Amino acid sequence: MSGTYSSKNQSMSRKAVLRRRLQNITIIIISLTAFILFWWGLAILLDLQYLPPPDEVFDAFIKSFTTPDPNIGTTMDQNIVASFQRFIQGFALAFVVALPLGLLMGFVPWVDTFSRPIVEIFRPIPPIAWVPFFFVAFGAFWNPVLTVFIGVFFPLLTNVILGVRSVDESLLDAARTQGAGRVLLFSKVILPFSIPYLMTGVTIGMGVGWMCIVAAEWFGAIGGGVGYYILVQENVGMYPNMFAGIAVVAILGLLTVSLSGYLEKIIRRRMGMS
Amino acid sequence: MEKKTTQLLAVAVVAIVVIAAVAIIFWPDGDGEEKTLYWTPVPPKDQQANFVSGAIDAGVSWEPYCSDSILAGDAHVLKWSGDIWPNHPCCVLAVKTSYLSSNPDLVARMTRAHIEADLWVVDALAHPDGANYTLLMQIGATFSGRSTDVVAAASEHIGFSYGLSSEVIDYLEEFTQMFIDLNQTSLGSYASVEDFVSNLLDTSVIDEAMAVQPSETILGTVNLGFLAGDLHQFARVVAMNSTAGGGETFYEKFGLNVIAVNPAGYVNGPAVMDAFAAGVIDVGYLGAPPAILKKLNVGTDIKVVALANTEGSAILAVDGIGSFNDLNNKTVATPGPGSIQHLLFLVYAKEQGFTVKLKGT
Repeated sequence: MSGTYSSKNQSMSRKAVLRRRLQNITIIIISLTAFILFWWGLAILLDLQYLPPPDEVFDAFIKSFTTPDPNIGTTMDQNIVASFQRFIQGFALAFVVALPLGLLMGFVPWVDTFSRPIVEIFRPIPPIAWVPFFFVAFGAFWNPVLTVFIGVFFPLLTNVILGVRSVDESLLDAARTQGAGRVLLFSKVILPFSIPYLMTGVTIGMGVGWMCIVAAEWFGAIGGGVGYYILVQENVGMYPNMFAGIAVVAILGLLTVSLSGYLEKIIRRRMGMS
Repeated sequence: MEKKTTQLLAVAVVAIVVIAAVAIIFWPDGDGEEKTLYWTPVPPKDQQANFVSGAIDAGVSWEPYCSDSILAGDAHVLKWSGDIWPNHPCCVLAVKTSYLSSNPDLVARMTRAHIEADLWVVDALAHPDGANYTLLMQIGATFSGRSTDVVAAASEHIGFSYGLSSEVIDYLEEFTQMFIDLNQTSLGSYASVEDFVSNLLDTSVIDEAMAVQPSETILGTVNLGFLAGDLHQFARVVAMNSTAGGGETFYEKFGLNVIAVNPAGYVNGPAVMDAFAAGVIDVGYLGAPPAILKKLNVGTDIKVVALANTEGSAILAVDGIGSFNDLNNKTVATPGPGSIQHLLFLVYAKEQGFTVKLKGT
């Protein structure tokens, strides 16, 4: 009897969850439709060349993938690959610097005392502010990579430090009573505990990274890039193409942030920290 | 076990990302095809540094950036723009059409001031031993932040003239057709290239300007836009100089209060066109190609009422590049699509039998 009641409850619970998800999806569709209709109405009402209606942007979006742009000579997928390459490079660079530094700053007090003033000086500076300098100092290849690096570095660093400092004391005590020294404490307790916090930093960094890459590519980019595409289209007055480029950036940002957020949830759940 | 799997998975993902990043950096470029040129966007102000660092093998830019590199020994000239397109128009004086319709007298006065300043520049350059030449060099040095030697060298390669001659009109029609052939624009509602250029220009303003008399009082205010650090627009710089004007600026002489809306200058021609579209400026100096492109692609309604200069750009190259053909599989910097320098480079490279590609593709 109680078993039947329990499975019936589970079934009702699953149905409720499914209904909620369908409701949410419906609301999202309505919201996006309303946005597009508003945009369309505004474009028709204002009739401005630099505010094209959604259908022109959509056409430009499709065409950008099938036909090389006459100004740059690349298709949108080539631009995406170029931007993504720089994004990965900047992200990887931030990762290999922020992870060990964050672990050290969280675990070794004098390292934190030494590094923190420098970190706090540079943290408030918007990554985009560095673009003109990076372009002149490091050239068109490293400029967007370093800009992404700066943008991703600080969220990663902050969250790794937080992760190290958030380790449950009881876990550390338990490890110590089992005879664990500093090295084992770090490798077996602190480092694994920091991973979910690191993933939070990754998720935040992803969004910041895309903002950085678009701005950095405005100063020039090797092999094209979505940011450079947007700039060129604005320069020559092809606004449907410009908005298509903006839409691509939005989609890429959404995909990468969502993927990172999903991985973070999985990791947190598996490590019992959700 | 699950935790260990997760940790291994996380480490594997990180390792893949890092390896991919390193591989991308060191992955060898594809072999260049024969007679291929690779272009990369570099603003003229940064081209000299790129010559020095070896990031580029050649660059197309305008004065005074050309003379910066030449006099410093960082690059030499392969081709002046005048070698490729003799007497080609470059920068123009443009007016918002609605402003012209409602303020024809102010526009005529603005144009007259431009003409007078242009003639002053031409006369000064024709007499290198005269006081006006020295003053002109000083004005140019102050404006551009460069030595008078650079200004002098730059001035030699720029043609200062104001007339919209049949040669200028022919060139503007050619530029328009080139953009159409490159699929960078289309005629839209215009019947032909000639029809478009005829609509782009207002050749009557110069005649009206010549009939204008100086004014003791200020008759109106004009919001002006221009490019940053561009000696092609030297006439504008002189027009705003009271010493050259004999105690008042050329604009004041003809009864105008001219406001430089962006005192530092706009970064490029498209930005000046955007300023027109936004209603921020009434009159502007900009390159002819951005005026053509944005009038066609965006419909920004402006009229070109006078020329500012001819020629004044060049293709420069580093040591070891003796001729344009030596640029096979090399990297050439340009200000980017939409500029006359980029158009010149594309057209000339194709004439020389080169395939032009964006660097990295």
